[in-house]
Amino acid sequence: MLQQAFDNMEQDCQQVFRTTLSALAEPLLPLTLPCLPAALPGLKPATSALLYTLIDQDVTLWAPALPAATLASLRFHCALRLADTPEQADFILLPAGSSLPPLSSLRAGSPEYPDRSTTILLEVEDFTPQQVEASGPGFASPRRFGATGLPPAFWTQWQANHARFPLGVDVLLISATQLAGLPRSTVVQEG
Amino acid sequence: MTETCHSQWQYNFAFLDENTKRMLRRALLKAVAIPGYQVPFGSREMPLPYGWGTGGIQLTASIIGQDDVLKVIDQGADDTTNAVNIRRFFARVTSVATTSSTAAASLIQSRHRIPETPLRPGQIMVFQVPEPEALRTLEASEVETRKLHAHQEYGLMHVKLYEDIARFGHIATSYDYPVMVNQRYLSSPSPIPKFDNPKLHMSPALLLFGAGREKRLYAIPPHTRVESLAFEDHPFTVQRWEQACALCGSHDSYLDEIITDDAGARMFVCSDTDYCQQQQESKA
Ligand SMILES: [Zn+2]
Repeated sequence: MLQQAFDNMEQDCQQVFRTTLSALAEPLLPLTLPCLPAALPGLKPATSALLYTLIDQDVTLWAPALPAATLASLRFHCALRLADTPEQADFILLPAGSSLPPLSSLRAGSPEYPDRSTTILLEVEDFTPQQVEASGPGFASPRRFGATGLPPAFWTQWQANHARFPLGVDVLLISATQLAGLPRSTVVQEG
Repeated sequence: MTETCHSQWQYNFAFLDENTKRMLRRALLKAVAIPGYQVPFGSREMPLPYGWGTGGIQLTASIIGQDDVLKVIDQGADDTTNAVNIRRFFARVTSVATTSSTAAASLIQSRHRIPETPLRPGQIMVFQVPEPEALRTLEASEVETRKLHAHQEYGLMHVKLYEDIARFGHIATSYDYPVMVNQRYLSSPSPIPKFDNPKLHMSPALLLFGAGREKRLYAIPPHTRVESLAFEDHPFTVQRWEQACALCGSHDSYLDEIITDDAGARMFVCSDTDYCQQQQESKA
């Protein structure tokens, strides 16, 4: 049974993309997605919106086991191609509660082409203001940020990821209806 | 067959097909994550001649939506042929609202200038870039310039600017003056006058750069450090004029010298026509 994607694929993808662009341009500032499709089984509505917007036959996605209906819908709407391992993927999808592969094992680009790297779609429960202080490009001044449902030791791993800049992975943190960008340029201090 | 192609063009909002937009959008997200780094993008051809601002048009087409208000400038003016054509083109293929007002625009595509009216949070500027590689005149090989960026090896550029000082007593580069973005990547600000370089530093707006022929794009996120190269004994300076604008009296704007009659009489006027008009109206 295929899920219905967006009502208007072209317009809704544009809207979701603009929110994603803003989310990476001003990191760790949760933004509400302007339009949401019906959630794919096993995923949040916002995650489904991002998959429709970003994925096509030109990229590969790795995810832990997903419901067959979700895979079928993504194959239909996005021409989904799955990567065999997280280390090979252009995008990594981590539904809520999935374990995080070591960030240092993932594609971080090369010194000449740091863009040849992985982007992680990471589901969290919700955004709370209380875990870290962040700064870097996109921050007029340092901003406090937190999310419940993050994998253990996420922020420690993040610091190592940022230390490789301009190499590294980028993360999109996703709640049911919101999105916060975490580009590799973001400096995070715990506490 | 012709019919199918025709209707496909008609119904593709903003003219590019969805696959091309997604490819550009993914590249833009990388560009924002690595400020100042040139992201290569795929090689689908645009049915437009280069030099028409294809890089800027592709970026604008991949981000524009129905709520946008678009402004297009060329050398600061909204009414030059190039700016008018691009604005009409997007009005036709997207039906978005257009404006000449910097303050009213959500999206500004530009060739050669940054508006005088300060940009605001939420705005996006798209720059048309003929040559995205700041090091290209010094090193012809893309393999080599990639290595120089990888190792942050920018001595060549400093040598070039210092040779200017030795020859002319000052840095002669006045357009496309190289900048360091986020203290990491040497970048071309596109052929804007160096007068506009300080506007790149900690801009509240998102700045996107598209090079159509070279198929590369790059970004300066809001609130990002952008420094024009300089030396301790030769700090960076911008152009200044003794005259005020002959039309609005502004002392703070970038001025163009124009010839006003056959006898060669000259005057200096704002290059930013929207700004000049606002200034004239506020004094009227
Ligand atoms: Zn004026």
